[in-house]
Amino acid sequence: MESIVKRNIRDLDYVLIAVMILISVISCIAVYTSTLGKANPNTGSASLGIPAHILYRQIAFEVLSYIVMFVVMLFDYRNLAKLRWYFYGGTLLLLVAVFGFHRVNGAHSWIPFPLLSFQPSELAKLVSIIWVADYMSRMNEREVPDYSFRGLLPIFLAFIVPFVLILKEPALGQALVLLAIMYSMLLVYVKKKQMRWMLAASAIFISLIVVAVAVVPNQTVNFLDHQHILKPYQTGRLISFIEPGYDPASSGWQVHQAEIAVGAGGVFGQGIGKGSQTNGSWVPFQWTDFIFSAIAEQLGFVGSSVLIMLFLIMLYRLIRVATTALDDFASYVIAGIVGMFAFQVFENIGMNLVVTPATGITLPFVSYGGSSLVVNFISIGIALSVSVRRRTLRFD
Amino acid sequence: MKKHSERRSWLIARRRIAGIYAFIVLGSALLILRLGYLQIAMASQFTTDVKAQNFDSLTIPAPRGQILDRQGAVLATNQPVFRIIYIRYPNDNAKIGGVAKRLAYPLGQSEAALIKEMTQTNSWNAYTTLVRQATPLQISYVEEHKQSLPGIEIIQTPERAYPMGSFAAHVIGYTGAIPANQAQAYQAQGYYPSAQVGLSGIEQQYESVLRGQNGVKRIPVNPAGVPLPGGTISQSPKTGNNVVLNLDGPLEKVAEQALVSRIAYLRGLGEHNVHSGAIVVMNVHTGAVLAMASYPSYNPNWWIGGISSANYQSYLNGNAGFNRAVSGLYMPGSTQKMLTALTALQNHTISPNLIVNDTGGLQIGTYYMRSWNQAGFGPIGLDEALEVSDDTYFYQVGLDMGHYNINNPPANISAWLNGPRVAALRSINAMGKQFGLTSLTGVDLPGEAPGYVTFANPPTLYDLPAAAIGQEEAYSPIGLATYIAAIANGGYRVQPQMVHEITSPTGRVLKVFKPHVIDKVKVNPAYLKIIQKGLEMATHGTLGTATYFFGSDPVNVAGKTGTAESGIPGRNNSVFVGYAPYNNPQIAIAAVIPNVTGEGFRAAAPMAQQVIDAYFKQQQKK
Repeated sequence: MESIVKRNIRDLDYVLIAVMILISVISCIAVYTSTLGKANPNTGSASLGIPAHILYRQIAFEVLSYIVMFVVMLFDYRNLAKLRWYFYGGTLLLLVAVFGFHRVNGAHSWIPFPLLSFQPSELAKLVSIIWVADYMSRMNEREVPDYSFRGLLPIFLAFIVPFVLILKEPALGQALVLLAIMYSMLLVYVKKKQMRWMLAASAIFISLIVVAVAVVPNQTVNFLDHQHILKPYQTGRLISFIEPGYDPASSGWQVHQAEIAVGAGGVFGQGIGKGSQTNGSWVPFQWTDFIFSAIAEQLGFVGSSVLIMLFLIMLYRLIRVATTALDDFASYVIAGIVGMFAFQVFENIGMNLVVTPATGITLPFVSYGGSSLVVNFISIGIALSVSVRRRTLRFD
Repeated sequence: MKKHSERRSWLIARRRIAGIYAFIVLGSALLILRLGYLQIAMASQFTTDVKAQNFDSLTIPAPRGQILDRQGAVLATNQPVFRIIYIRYPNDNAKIGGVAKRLAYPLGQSEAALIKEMTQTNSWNAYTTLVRQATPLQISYVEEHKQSLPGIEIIQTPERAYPMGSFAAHVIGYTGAIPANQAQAYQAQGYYPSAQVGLSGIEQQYESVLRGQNGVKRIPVNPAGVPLPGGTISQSPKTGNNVVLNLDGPLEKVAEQALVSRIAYLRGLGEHNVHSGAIVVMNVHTGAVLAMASYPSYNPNWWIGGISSANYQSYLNGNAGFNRAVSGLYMPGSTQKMLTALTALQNHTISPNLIVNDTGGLQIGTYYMRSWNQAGFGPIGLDEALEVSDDTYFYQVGLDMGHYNINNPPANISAWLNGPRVAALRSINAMGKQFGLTSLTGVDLPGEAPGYVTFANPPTLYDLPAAAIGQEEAYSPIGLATYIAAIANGGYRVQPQMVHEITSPTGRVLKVFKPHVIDKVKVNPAYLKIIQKGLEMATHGTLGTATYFFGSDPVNVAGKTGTAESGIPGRNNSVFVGYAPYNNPQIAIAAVIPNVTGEGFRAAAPMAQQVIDAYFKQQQKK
C-alpha cells in the first residue's frame, strides 16, 4: 500500500495547481503595483490600513495558503462532516464577537488578531457550505427523503442566520455571497418539482430587479432608502450604478475611476508599474475590491481576459471533481464552493467593469487580504482532498 | 453508503451542474465582451480621461532671445533661477495649512502670507510662485521634505537680466507680468497668465521674435495633488531668437553721458527747470539708429520679478520710463527754418534769391514781431538767414507763403485768416509729413508720437510768421533726425531702424533688415543745396549761431540750433539738428534739452558736438 502522500502526489490535479499558481502570480503583481509607494502618510490616511510591507505580507500569506491547502488535502474531507457543528457554531460565535471590535472602514468585519486581522464572514461561507452539504447528503441517505419545502427549511435557516449577522456588520457583498452559495447548492440538490418553483421564483425575482432598476430606478432607490433597507452609501453606489456619472466626486468616484483605469488599459495594457491610474492611487482600495482595475490597466484586454479564462478553468476543474466525487457530501461541498467563487468573481469583475453594482466583494485569490486568501485555499484544499480520494474506489 | 455508481440523485445533479457551468461560461463571455467594449472600443476616450486627470502640465518657460548691440555686446540676456512653486488642485485646500506650516520658517514667510499666496494670488493660474529666487538651503529643504509638501515643486526658470543696467534702457525696454487689462489679448496668443512679456522698447516691439516657445512638462499626480515621480518633458522649450541692434554701444555711452553731464552742468548753474533731454544719432543713408539717449532713465532690472514700490517711484519720477527720443514732442524753434524755406521755395512763394531787409523785427498789422537780434542784420539772403538764424527773414517768408503784404494788407482780414493763412500752415504741415516730422517715422519702437503744426484758434495775424520760425510746431527727436538726414542725403526719407538683424540662439543670421527708403521728398535738389549751404554757414560762418561749437571742429559739421519758448516764461527748448561730414554726410543728429534759460544753443549744440566728435574718432580708429 502506497503512502497517502505518494497517492496524493500521483493523483494531484496539476492543471488546477498550475492555474492557482498563475492566479497567485497575477495577484502579487497587482497587489504590489497597486500599493507601491502608497504607504506614506500623505497619499492615504491611517484608516486605509496599508502596511508598509504589503507585498511581503501578501507573499507570506500566499505561501501559508499553499501549505494550508496541501495540509487540508492530506486530511480526509469526510472528517469535515463530523466536525460540522463545531465549525458552524464556532463561526457563529465569531460573527457575534466581531461586533465587540472597532469598526474598520465603517464595518464590524474584522477581529484584529496580532499579525492578522481575521474576517469571520470569510469562514462563515465555508462552514455553511459544509453544514448544508452534510444535511443534504444525509437527506439523500434516508429511507424516505423529505425534499419538500419543510425538508429545505433547515438549509434556509443555516444560511439565513450568518446572512443576517453579516448584513448587520454591514457587509452586504459577503452576505449576498451566502445567498449565491445557497442557490447553487439547491440547484444540484432539489427535485424536479422544487426545481420548477425555484426557477419560477428566480425568474420573478430577476424581473422584479430589472423593473426596479431599469424602469423605476428613482422609486426603488427612494424605497430602499426610506425603509432603511440599504445604508446611504449603499444607495449611493446603487444610484451611481444606475446613472453613470452620478456624483463622481464621492459615491460614484471609485467605480468611475476603476472604469477609467480599465478603459485606459487598452488591448495590451500600460505595462506593469506603468498604469497612471494605479500609480496615482486614483482608485480607492484598489488593492482589495478594485484590484481587477489595476490588472486591466496594466495588462490590458489580453491580460484581463487571461485572468478570466484562468478562473473559468479553475471552476471547470472544480466541477470536474464534483461530478466524479466519491459521495454526495463531497459533490454538494464543491457545488457550494463553485457557487461561491463564481458569484464572487462575476460580481467583483462586474463591478470593476460597471456591469454590476458595487458591493464590498473581493476578487478571490487576487485581492489583498490574508483571511480570505487562507479560507479560499482551504476550499481548494477540500476540493483536492476530494479529488485525490475519488480514484481509490475506481482502481481498487 | 451507496456505491458511487448507484448515486441516482447525483445523475440528475450532474446535468444541473453542467447547467451551472453553462451559466458560468455565459457570465465570463459577458465580462469579456464588456472588457472588450471598455478596452478596445472606448480605449481612446478613457485614455483622454486619464491624460486630463492624472497629469499636470507645467509650462517650462522658454528663455527669451538676447538683445545685442552692433558690436555684439549683450544688453539683455537670461539667468537661470530656481523657483519654489505651489501647484494648485481642486481638492487640495485641506493640505495647504500643513504645507504652509512646514514652509513658513525655511522660506522666511508667515503661514498666513503663504496660505494667501497659495489660495488667492492669481487664482486663475495653475500654480503660484512662492519663492522667486530660492537659496540652496531652501531648495534642499523642499527636496528632502517633498513627501510632506504636496503640490510644492522646484522649477528652474530663465529670468531676464540686463547686464549693463540702465544703459540704453529706453531702447531695450523691459519685461514684466502681463498687464491685467491685456490678459485676454495675450492669452489669445498662447501666453500663460504668469508669463513675462516685453512691455516697452525693443522687448515690446520684438516680443514675437524674442519670446521663443514654451515647453511642457507632464507630471503624474494622485487625486490629492501630490506630484509623483516620473514626469516627462513632452515638449522642450525653444529659446527665442536674438535681436541685434544697429545701436553702437560706445557711441550710445557717449550720447548718454553727454546728455547726463550736460543736464547736470546746467542744473549746476541753477537751471532747476532742466531735468530732461534726448539725443538721436542716425546713419543718414540707412536710417540705422546708432545712438538714442533719453533722460531721465531707469534700470530695466527693476522690473524683474515685479518692481518694488521704491523702484516704481523712481520709475515714475520725472516720467523716467518715457522715451523722449521717440515719444517726446518739442517745439523745434529755428530748426524749423529749413522746412519753412523748402516749403516756400517748392511752392514758389519765395525765390531762392529773396533778400529781406532785416531791421530787427517786422510790423504786422498792430503786432510788432521782434527778431532775436533786435539790431537787425540789414539786407540778407536765404543762406545767410540760416547762418545767423534771422527771424525777420523767416517772418517775411511766412507772410509770403500766406500772400500777405505788410504794406498792403488784405481788406478782409478774417477771410485771410481762414483762407491763405490756413493754406500756408497746411503747406508747412504737408512738407513736414514728407520729412517724417508731422508723420510717423516708422521707427521700430513702440509709442512713437507724430509731430504736428498748430492751427491756432482763434487765429491771429502773427501765428503764421511764428510758425515759420518754429514756434507753432512740435516734433519728436527721431522725427528731427529723419528730417535732417533727408536734408543731408539729398532728400531721401529713410526709415529709422533700431534693429539690424535677427539671429537664432546659435547665432545663425535669420533676417537682416535692409535700409528702407520710405520716399524721396518732392523738393528741387537745387533748393536742398541752398539749405545745406546755409547749415554749413551756421556752423562755420563768422556770425553762424553754432560756429562757436563747430567752427574749429576737425569734423565738418553742418547744422542748425533752435530755441523755442518752452511754455515756462523765460525758459526755452534748446534744440540742435545737424549732420556730418558736410561734404559726404554719414550721420545725422538731433538733440533736445527743454526749459533752458536764454538762447538754446548753450544746451543742445555742445552735447551734439561731443557725440559727433566721438563718432568720427571711433571711425578713425577702425
